[in-house]
Amino acid sequence: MKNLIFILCLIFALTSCLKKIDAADNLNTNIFDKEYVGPCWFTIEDTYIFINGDGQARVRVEAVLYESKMPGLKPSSVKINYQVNDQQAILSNVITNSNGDYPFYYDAIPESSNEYCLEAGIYLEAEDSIINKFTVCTQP
Amino acid sequence: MKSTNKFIITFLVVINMSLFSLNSAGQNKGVVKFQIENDNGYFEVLVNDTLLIKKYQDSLPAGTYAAKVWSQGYDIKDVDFTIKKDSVTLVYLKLDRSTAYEAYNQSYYNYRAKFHKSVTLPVCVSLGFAITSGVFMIRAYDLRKIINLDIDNYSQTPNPSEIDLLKIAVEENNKKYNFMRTGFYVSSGLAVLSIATTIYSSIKFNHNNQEPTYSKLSPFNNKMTLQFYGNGAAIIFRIG
Repeated sequence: MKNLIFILCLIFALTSCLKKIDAADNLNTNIFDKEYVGPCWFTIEDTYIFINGDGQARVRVEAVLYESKMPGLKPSSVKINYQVNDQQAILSNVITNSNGDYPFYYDAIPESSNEYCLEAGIYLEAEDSIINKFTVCTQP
Repeated sequence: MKSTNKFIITFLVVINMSLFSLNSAGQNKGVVKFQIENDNGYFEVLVNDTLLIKKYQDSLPAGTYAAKVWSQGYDIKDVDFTIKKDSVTLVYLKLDRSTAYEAYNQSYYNYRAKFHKSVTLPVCVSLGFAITSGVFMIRAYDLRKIINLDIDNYSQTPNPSEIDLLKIAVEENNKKYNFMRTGFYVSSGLAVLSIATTIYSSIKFNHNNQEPTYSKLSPFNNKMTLQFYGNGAAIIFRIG
């Protein structure tokens, strides 16, 4: 009887380690993955109107790609393609700051709607393509 | 306490050769050699219902003897022979299988066939399933390790092409892993089932069958035995 209980416990212990690997079916959490399905990977930190060096009014939309959204091995820079509304898109090599985050901003021309939607995507140089585009709207 | 009705008193008399008339020096003795044809190479010869010889050859006083020859699994056969002084007498005899032994052989064969069917075969099947489930389990564990490593690498790398490769590898290995898991569960279940069947059929077999036996005891066991040594001879009487 003791042997039977021991064998059953052993079988239970062994089989409990052979569970289905759920993570294998959900490999879509890396922002560099073309099939990324996670939440928006950047956050708008601030939006404000300012006067630039040429004396023109601009709306600066400041955004950050936080370190926590990045994969374990963090590159020193990330190429991000972004634009506000339908204004000129920028391809920028965003460099990490002292906190390990990747801040970037867009100086938009003021618009009458006063709504500024930042659309940003990760640029893949090898394929010359932009993936994982997200749009977040804000007001100054 | 058990009854002692089978108690055997062995009376051993050791007589010096000089006192016993079987001393070879100055006697009318000859040598008898037995050539007994049987399968096991062992035989016993009971000479004149008194002298039990278990050797291939012996020296006996000259004269005519009536002997009975026996070997395990064979019928007792009578043979007469004459010993002449200082000569060698060859006694050739082919023993016949005993009917009882043939019956024992057949029943033992049947018993073994049943044993293999009821015990050996289920044990082999159980062992086969147990080994198969073990192989599935080991393969599954190996794949699990590889998959977890790839998943970890996936969460680490910022390289899109590496991500693609890792995803393909994880998908393929995960398919294999799930196959191994299924194989493990199925073969484990079958192993448990076959072990239970083995236990049941073994118990049933032991309950319903008894291993046939065949007595190896010599029919001459209760007779006197004469044994020769370097300086003498021993006569063993068995009474009871």
